[in-house]
Amino acid sequence: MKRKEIKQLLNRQLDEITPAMSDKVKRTPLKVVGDETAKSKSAEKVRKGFVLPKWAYAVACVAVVIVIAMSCGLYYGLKPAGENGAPQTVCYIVDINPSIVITADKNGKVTHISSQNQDGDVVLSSSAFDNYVNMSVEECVNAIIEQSAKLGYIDCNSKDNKVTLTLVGDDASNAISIDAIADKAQNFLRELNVFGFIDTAVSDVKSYVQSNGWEYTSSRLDAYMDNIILQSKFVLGAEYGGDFGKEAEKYLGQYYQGIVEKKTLLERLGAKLEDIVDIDGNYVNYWIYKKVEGTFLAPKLSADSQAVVKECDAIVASLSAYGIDVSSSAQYGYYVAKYAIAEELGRFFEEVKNFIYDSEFFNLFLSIVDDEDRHKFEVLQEQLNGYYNDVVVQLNKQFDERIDKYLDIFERRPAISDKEYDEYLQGVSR
Amino acid sequence: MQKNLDELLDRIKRGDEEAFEELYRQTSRQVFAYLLTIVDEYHTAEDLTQDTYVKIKKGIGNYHSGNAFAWIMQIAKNTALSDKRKNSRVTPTDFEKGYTKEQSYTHDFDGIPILEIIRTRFDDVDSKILLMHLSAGYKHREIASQLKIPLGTVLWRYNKAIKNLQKIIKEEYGL
Repeated sequence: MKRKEIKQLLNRQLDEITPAMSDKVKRTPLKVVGDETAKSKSAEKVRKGFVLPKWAYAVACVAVVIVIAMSCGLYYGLKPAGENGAPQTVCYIVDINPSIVITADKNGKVTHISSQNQDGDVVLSSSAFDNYVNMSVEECVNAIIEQSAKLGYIDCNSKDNKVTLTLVGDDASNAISIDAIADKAQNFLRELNVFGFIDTAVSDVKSYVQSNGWEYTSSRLDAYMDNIILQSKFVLGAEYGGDFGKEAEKYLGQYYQGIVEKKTLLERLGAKLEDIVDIDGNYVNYWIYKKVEGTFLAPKLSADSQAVVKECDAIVASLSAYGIDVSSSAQYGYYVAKYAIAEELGRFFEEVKNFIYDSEFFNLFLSIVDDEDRHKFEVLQEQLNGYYNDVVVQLNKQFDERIDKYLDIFERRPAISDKEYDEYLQGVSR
Repeated sequence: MQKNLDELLDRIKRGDEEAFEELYRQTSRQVFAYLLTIVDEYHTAEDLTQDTYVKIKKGIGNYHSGNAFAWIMQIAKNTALSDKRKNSRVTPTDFEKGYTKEQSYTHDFDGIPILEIIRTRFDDVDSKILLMHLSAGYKHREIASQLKIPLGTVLWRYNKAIKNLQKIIKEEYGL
């Protein structure tokens, strides 16, 4: 039985036994906003006990805006309907020369607009689009045409103006058909005394992506997943006490490439980096992106680890200068520090995994590949899990070995400070 | 779902009972599944589900938007934990300890009592991870944070548990 089937079966069973709303719940009055009853003693107590500063409300307001913006994002416009019958949306791409993507719900209400090129940016900067949410698609298309005419993208003296209206999604289930939208746009052109015609096309997401040469084929998926596996191998195989930095950079270089590819794909679909960050809902993506813009490893390390490494390196260097075999407390500390770095890499790897598994990118990615690809993904995902577990086992093993190796030295160590002990060792060496 | 829940909570805040019913329809299964990971008995989870929604009704005025689902689940968690604290010194009678198989929630759905398998054949942590991820709608990351165990462990345990579950179903039910 597949995982998806297990999930469906489990949820069916839970649906059967989840209790219906009881009379007690039904009878409980809603303490609505503005209702005096809401100002109960307990609520008062809460307010007195914990008063939020004004800025917190401002932050909350911004959060609402972000949540709404996320919900209305183009990404969701292109994503197929959820399993639970989530509201479906469609995208209309208006191409004049300015190219603009309108995302709308099935009732023809606009939820999001974004440009696909610089001319599109210019058109959308008009105040006509200040309050586009809930505008009808027809109004929005007409507004784009009007602004394009005003800005000279449509030549009022030409007879060859062409507006291409492409629907990406399913036309049949929309309240307003694309032809009806095109008819209204045609009439609007006449009202503006502009010669031109409206060309329409309908495409599903996959075909649209393919027709634009952005196809993610099986081989691309293989390459992508191979890359992830390769990255995990780098982490697994990196010698943390040696040139781990070099390995990590190589690893990140490849990861960066992957991020850029995915970012580019979404940008081509009309989203901006900000949208991606919001859509993703986790800032790991943005974090990774920012981190890999410059050198990665140094800023990735915590201040504590950096201090430990620096200190240990100095101790080891000073001991080495005396020709001492650094099998002392300093060496132990050195290994502990390196292990701390390894742990950080491990944590980073966890975040990468988290990013991959939770990422909406990946869902988008999977939405435009076929079942065969999905199966491959599952197989590769299993492999990735295996590698990850190997990393954890490897790290623990290394740590245990190091503890064992230096335990004896520690136990036989005189009861003096690190500094004194190092001086003592230096004295012995001399 | 987030947007939808936010909209529903907004409507509930304005006194819309229908929106509350819709919220119950949309989220009660997840709440119930989540409560099953905290309490042992089905009937306690049932009662706590109802208590959770009573609290949502009473506390809707304090909701200031953000993560609606997390807010609801936090109420469920608080309700369960406060109930646990309240009853921690009370030894349940045999009758209270839960339903017998005959009574029962061991429904023979499609021939596989999958919920019972998860609750009785897996250890507490695996059972929680499975229910939280498969039914309560938590992401692995969120489970890691809730159960205070590393994300890697959650992923590893989840994968192992799912495979075991598949194995049990295959061996005992031939699917």
